[in-house]
Amino acid sequence: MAGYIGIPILMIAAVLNATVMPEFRIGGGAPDLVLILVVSWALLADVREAMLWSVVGGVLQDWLSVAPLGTSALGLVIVVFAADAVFGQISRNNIIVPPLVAAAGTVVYHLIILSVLWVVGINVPIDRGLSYVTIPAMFYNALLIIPVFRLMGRVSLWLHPRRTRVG
Amino acid sequence: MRAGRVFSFILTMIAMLLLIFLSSRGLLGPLEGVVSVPLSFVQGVVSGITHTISDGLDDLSNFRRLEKRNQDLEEAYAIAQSQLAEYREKALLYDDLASLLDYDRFEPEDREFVTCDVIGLDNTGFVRAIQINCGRRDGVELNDPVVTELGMVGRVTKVSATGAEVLLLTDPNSQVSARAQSTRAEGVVVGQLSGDLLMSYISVDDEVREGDFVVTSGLGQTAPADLILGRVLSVSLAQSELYQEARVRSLVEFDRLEVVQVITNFEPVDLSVFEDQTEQQ
Repeated sequence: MAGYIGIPILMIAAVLNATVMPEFRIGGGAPDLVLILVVSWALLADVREAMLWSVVGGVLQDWLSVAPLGTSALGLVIVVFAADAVFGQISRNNIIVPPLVAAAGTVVYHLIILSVLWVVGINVPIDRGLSYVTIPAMFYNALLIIPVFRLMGRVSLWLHPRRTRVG
Repeated sequence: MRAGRVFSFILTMIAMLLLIFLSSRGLLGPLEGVVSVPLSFVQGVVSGITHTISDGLDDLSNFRRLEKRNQDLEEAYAIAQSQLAEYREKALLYDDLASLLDYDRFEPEDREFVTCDVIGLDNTGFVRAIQINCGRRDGVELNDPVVTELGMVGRVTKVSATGAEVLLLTDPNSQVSARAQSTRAEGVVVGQLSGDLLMSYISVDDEVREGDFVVTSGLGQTAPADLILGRVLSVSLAQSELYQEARVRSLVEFDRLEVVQVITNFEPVDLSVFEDQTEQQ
């Protein structure tokens, strides 16, 4: 049930990523709402729910981008799995771990997208790509995840009222 | 429990890799086309609202600057008007001579356009592309050139029934044959991730002047000739010193595109038959 709640939220996030978020671009980097939502859910809920969110959010992102279908989903699934492996579930009041995961996740996610783009013949200069797009996006995501994580914490509490959290 | 998570992860990874493979081979085209219809609609609505709010905020914050700019533009407009009259005379003379010589080429007035709203920007950040709300139903085809009144914007790289994706000139994978308007120096305009354009492969013997307009040359048949690409900012020798490079600034503001036009009747000359003959030899 909780997994499916994410579908409309992610749909809105993917559309906002393609329409509103580019208005806030610094260099080529903009906030990535889908990544932030998926990372937040990975730290709050069961990783399999977060993986479902990754696939749905990633595919929706790819529908609105040049990348082949599945590229963003692949990146998000890897980020989610790694976040769960390192931190597991954390308290919804934690304000240290989510920005760290968002920042590191942005780098990993972008490296995966760059690799897939390279494989399908879309060459992006990696050094310029990382400095021009990834670094600003990393800061944006690390900052924006703080309110989003708190909000998703409330959603998680509403959906899983009896879940015990280890902080 | 742990093994179950790893199993789900591996299974999802395999599924995603398969999806990437099928999508990059174009095997999901029909499915992608169907799903993109409602998504394009929602994207168009949100994009319209965003543009309205963004423009309103810009107007408020730039009011003084806009007033000064308006004065400057009015002066520039008056000068341009007198130049236009001169060019009209020349155009008439050109038309007369061209008809005398039976010279047939793809002229600006031959172009057929479809006007489209920009409904989104590529969200990866690594690719400079926009999405528009015109597709096959409107006559848009793959590789159609996309322009605004200020010059060329890019080329259609993906098209569905109701929408299309346009690779912008500023994308590093975009290359257009170009020439400097006054000196006729030839080169290739390549996009830069920073959003600028670089005219490369200009012969060291050719002259390129700062401030000169750069237009499409029509070579390679990727775009019709004489579409404005931008103005030369600076010229330098390439690192290899084998050719010159010119930094070009487009007149188009690629981050603020709202409406574009697709040239729907540009048909590149089919030269593939010659390539086949060369292979056979």
